[in-house]
Amino acid sequence: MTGKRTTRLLLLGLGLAALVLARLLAGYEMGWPAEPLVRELRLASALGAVAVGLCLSVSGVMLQSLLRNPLASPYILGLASGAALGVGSAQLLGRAADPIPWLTQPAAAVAGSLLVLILVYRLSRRRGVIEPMTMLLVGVMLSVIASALLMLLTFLMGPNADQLLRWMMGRLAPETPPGLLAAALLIGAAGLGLGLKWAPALDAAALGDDEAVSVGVRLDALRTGMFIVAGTLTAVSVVLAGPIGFVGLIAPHVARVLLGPGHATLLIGAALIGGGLLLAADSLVQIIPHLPWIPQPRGLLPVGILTSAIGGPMFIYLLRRRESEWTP
Amino acid sequence: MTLRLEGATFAYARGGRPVIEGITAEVAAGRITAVIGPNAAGKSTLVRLMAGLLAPGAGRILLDGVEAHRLDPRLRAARIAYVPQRPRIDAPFTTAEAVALGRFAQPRRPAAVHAALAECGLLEERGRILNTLSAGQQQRAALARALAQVHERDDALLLLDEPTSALDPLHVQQTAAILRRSAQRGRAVVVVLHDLVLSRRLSDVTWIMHAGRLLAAGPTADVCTPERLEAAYGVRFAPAPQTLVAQVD
Repeated sequence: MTGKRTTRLLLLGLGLAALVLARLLAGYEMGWPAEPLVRELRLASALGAVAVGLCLSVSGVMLQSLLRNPLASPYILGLASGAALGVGSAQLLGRAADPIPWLTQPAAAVAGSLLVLILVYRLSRRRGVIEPMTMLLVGVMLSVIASALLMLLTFLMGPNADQLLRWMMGRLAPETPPGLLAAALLIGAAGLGLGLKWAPALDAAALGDDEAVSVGVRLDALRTGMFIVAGTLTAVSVVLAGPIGFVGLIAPHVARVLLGPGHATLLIGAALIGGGLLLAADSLVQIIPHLPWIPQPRGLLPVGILTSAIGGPMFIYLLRRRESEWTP
Repeated sequence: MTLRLEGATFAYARGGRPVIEGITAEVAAGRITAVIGPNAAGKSTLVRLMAGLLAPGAGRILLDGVEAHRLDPRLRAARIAYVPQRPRIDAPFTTAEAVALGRFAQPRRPAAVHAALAECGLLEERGRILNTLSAGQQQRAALARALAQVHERDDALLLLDEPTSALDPLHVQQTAAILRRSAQRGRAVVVVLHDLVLSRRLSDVTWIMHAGRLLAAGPTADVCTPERLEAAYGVRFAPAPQTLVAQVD
């Protein structure tokens, strides 16, 4: 790791710490929190944003590297929708009697996310080769199908679907149970740790399948491991905040520009940037209702709307740049 | 090091038409073997089979008695280095970083990377992003990656699929010299070539392929007769003292 990259990583870490601290010390009212409860809620909310951003970004780096497609992300490939469908199904089926509710929804999210990932991978592969544009289209279509099924679930749930509908917009709930938050942070850190362990193999995987295997990468094992980790991280983020778009696409790109393609620094950088981005976006949605030119605040804007509004144009920009690279 | 092909057969689709059919041959250490033949003869597939990247549907490919595709990739990487027809890298690594990827399964040895870069004339390019270099430079970088991979092994097998297709005459000569030095160290070198002049001058042994089969194999001077080349390529060849010149009617 060069000195310049280390310095940049340190600055990113300091930036994220400063954001968390700012969130702790100053809410929209810009004052010291008088009550410990307020401080606890703010800390939980900040850590939740960091955990979701970290999970999505690490998952994004893994997907982009393994599929060798800079446009891959948990949201674009439909993983988030698959996880959301899993959670929605668990909610619908578990309404009567769910003996282990703390496990059912996360497990359903992981299953939904992995199912979509496997389908994307299998349907995009022709004669052992993954065509990048086919993969994107398959991902988008599966995402549409999962979203349609999710809408069907909300229809079947009737008046009880209100909570699910709000959650589908992507919302960081301040009332997240501490146990769930701690588990999400632990899983996120474990996913990052595994990514770092596999970083040299991910670097070599950039050579292409044949060359990667010929230099000694156990590519099938790496792919399986990474897919499970990426799917699980996406599912964790969905359980915590619903489907949040584009953080998993943008953070890896920003990290790549700042830190280069080496995965050891890229993964850490993307995790810090993703955590910071989502924390900043969540802070912004907390501030928006209190701005003087907002006439009638209707509560907090779901953060997923904000990230999609920023990430959508960014995706189009990347797609056009990628297309120009493909055009001879 | 011995690599033996025993009736190696391969088809991409199960039950499909074999692209490699019943090839039996042996790769000799310390020799350069040229694999020649028309387009779609199966040369690249054969090299991938020899690299252990594909498993033969029938027959066997044995590296020192062990089936090449069954070897653990890390162990195989210490013995076999492979350069594909169109090397590419999907990330903005510098030339030195990309060459160092060849050491993935080997102990980190910056001297090996430096020596490979120097041998391939890429020291000045080592800090540049590989994808921004010319096609020829990228091809030389792929060769440097393979050389770095087996830096300390004189018993290695180098498999190169058209390594000179994008090179100018000077760099073709340099690459030929690198391959010759590798063979002199005792390595086995297998190189797919379309340039029959280069093939004739460079190789000790030639395999002529046609429609997935081995038409002829043996010492280059004996094998590369106008009749055999005509049978493989479908054009007439005139004999020449050092080279064979294609005559198209």
